[in-house]
Amino acid sequence: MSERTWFELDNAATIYPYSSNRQWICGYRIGFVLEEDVDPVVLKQAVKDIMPRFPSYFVQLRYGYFWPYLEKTNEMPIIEEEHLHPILPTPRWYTDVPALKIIYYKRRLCIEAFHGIADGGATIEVLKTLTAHYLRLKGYEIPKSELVMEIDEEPAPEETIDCFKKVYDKKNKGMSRKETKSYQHVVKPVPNYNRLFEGLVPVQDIKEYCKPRNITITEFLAGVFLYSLYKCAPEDNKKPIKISVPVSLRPVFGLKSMRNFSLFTNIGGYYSQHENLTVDKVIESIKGDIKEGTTKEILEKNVAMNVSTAINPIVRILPNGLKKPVLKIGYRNGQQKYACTLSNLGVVRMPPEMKEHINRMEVFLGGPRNCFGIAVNSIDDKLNICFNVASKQTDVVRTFYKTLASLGMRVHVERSDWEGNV
Amino acid sequence: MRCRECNVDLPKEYTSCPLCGGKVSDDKPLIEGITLAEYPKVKTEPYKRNPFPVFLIIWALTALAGIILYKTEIISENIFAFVVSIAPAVWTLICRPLFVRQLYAGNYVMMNLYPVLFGGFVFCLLKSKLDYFFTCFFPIVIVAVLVALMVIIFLQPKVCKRAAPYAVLTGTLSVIMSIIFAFIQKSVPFAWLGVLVICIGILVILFCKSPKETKEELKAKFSIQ
Repeated sequence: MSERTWFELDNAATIYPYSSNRQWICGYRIGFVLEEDVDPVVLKQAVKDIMPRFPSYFVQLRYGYFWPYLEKTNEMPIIEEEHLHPILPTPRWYTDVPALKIIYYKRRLCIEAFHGIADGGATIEVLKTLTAHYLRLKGYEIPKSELVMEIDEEPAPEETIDCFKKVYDKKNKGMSRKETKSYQHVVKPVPNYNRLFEGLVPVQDIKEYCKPRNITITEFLAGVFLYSLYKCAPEDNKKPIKISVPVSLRPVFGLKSMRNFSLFTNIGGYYSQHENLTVDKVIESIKGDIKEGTTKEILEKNVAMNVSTAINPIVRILPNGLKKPVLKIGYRNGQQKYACTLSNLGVVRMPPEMKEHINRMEVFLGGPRNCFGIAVNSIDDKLNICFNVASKQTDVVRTFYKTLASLGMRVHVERSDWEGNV
Repeated sequence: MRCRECNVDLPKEYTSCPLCGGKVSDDKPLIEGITLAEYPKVKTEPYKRNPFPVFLIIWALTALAGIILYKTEIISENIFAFVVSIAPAVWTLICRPLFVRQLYAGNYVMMNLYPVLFGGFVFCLLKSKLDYFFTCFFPIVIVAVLVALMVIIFLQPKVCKRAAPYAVLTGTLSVIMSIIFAFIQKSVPFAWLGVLVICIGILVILFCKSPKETKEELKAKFSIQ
């Protein structure tokens, strides 16, 4: 494969350069907590070794005259010990280092990446490869496995292309963008500050609750999250409370993309304070909505709607400076249709020899700093439910974990900036 | 450790609950075997505001002062033009490099072009010599910038490909201006043709030095996807 030096932004990533600013972090953090402290010297070597394997990942954002693009860079990414609040703005266009950071502190090893490069599904693969190689350099025996991308493999062509355009069907007319606006649970962000919460819950406890009710784990967590927003909403709220749930398109279309390849569906409903709803009723109200909103037919229409806009000849030849305000307004309008995002990355599989060196996995979303983001993942028998809040106002988070505990689940909670640490 | 109020387990290192702030109890945790994953104690850094709005205010006040001084005949057109363009020039020459972490020389040169052109435009407008601006001042400044770019190409071979889009845009501008002035003034616009020749020269040098990188840079910058 001839070596490419630049990549067009994929369809989902197009919006991020225009909407990203200090109050809207278009990035996220994904990391592992290992069983022993991270060795920075070995980590640096591991990063250097895996860079050629992911050519479209170690890139920097540049602005062309019509569209932003990603330029491949041979510079090492920033690898540093954590010393600031997490998920602050990543290095941007005026530098040659990739638009991501690799952060470590004691047992924690994380990647904080700009969303324009790739989504969580792709970053997890990079993190797994990095960690597997790091462990091998430390002297541990980690056998090759199809669950982890190997550094001596050639990158497949579908890893670096815009998969949205690959699955786009010109004959598909797409769907309407009209949707009611959602209640917004606004918090006042503190500058240069982020607070992370982790809630570890045994998967067995959740399955025991979900199975008799015939609901999925994502539906259950979405219902509890909606209930928490409902409990914290003002009494006179008349807008529907909706959350956005991203869906990876990789299993749907059978493509292993290392870029962004996911879409969103908004679920929720009208929840009046006068009704005195219980969490069961809220969960019941959204049962089946995620599945309905993520059928292949609906996803294909969604892809068609987004791609047809981007390939419109007028949009294509509009200069960057004119595109920016239009796309920014469009993005902000889209954000009004949901209160927060719930991202369930599901079970992250890896070889058992690698899993025994990893204590847990963490995923934290960026996004608008005046609201919450929640991400869920699991690597063993525990679910890690992670919140990112740019504020000291944590009513929704407290209500969420307390609700889980009130439903009979065992919950272990930790917080990033907790002064109660000894 | 547990918090009885929130009914959650907490790490044994915690002395109070991170959700409600209440005291923890010595109750045995319901989930065993979870160890605390520590975060460092961090200080919130001072919020670095974007200085550009401050620059705009300073520039607007400078321009206003210049207008008042000019209208009251305290300063001449030359000084007025200088005053109007001084704030942007100070910004691009001195202030902006202090705030931007890694400023390329070419970017630095191109940004300085705008205040110089603006000051010259104001001066020529006041002197009713706009034709002088478009036929002489403008192309001479462009030539000076292009010569600076050529020097940078030789001094910084790693980033020299970034001069290619500027050369294409400036060359296109020079073609348009040559055509316009050829029609209006019915004479050969030597200054703009000179700019065009230099632009072509820069592109030839770049394609000889690093043809692949230059081609990819142009494709990336002008890509309409």
